[in-house]
Amino acid sequence: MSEHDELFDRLKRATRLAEVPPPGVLRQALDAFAWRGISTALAAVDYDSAIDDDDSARVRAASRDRRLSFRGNLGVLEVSVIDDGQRLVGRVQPARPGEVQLRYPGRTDTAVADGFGHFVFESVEPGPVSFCWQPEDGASGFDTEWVTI
Amino acid sequence: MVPVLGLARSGPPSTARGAMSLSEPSRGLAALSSPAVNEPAVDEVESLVSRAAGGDDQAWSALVERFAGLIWHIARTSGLASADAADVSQTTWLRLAEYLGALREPSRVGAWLATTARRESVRVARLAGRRVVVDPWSELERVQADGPDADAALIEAEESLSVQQALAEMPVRCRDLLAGLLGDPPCSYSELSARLGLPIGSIGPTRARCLDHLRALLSKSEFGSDAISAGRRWS
Repeated sequence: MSEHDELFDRLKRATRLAEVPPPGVLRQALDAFAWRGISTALAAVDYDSAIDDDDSARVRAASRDRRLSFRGNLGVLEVSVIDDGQRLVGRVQPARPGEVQLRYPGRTDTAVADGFGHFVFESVEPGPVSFCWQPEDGASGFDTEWVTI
Repeated sequence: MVPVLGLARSGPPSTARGAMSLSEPSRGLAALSSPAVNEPAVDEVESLVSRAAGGDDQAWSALVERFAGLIWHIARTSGLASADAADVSQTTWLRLAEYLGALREPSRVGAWLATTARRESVRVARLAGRRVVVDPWSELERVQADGPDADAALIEAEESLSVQQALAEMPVRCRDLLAGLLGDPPCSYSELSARLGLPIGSIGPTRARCLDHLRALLSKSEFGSDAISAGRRWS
């Protein structure tokens, strides 16, 4: 068997079990382009209980709550996803009043952050989300990375 | 078959196909009969990334056409049910849209997407109780836990992934040719000749050049060396 035939066989084996992504998945991938570059200051995930807690920490927490923290140059946004993923409570630092947007790929919810930077979202849906923080005093806010909740 | 390569033929949104042909202007026979086929495809990918970063949605569609199968494969082989795999895929593309202009190595966007999808799959797989539709642990996970087939299954999964990643980075014309040859049943040389506008006599040599190109990409990829040794072991 020639070298090329061997490689071709590898190719066959490698593609044998692969699935075609469903059309809806491709549509979502194409639509993601609408979110291109709208972020100026991006806060990245710096803690995620789903990844960063080891098994024993998850057992000690005795809870399925998910905790996430996004950190950027302009501040920190922390959230907990509670009540089986239905509610989301969070706070921004530095603490100040303002508006938080919870962005889904196809729509946006808005909540008010109080003077402690605390905010709540109800009826949260699973899937990709990101946040946009805008302080009330007109100071610069920031967006977060997308993450799956 | 040809699931990975055959995306364009398997009924994705028509924009993906249309954009692909528009964004990869046909270089026709010249590309296939000259060494152009052997140019590093990473340049092609790099240019798609920079055009997409500049707002070219056809370049974005071409990236989706190339890499959607790879991302889906990573999510599904992480043991995720399709609803969760769809979320991982969507989050991965949203992340790319966000970071398009800021990628340190645009030519390595395939590796960047693979890493992002893998990390996101781990997150989602660990969210206990999140919308479990089927047993979240795949056959592969069970095999790994159980015994002697574990290494072989893992090696096979990695091999499949690195080959698919390399395929996604190939020039369009090579991917079309290999897709035809990998079909079930495979296209005959005369069908391929008609489809690709190539003389029959040049299909064999073009196949050889494309496979050389694939080998070069594999040897450069992250898992390349492991995958190649694994491939030899099975041959």
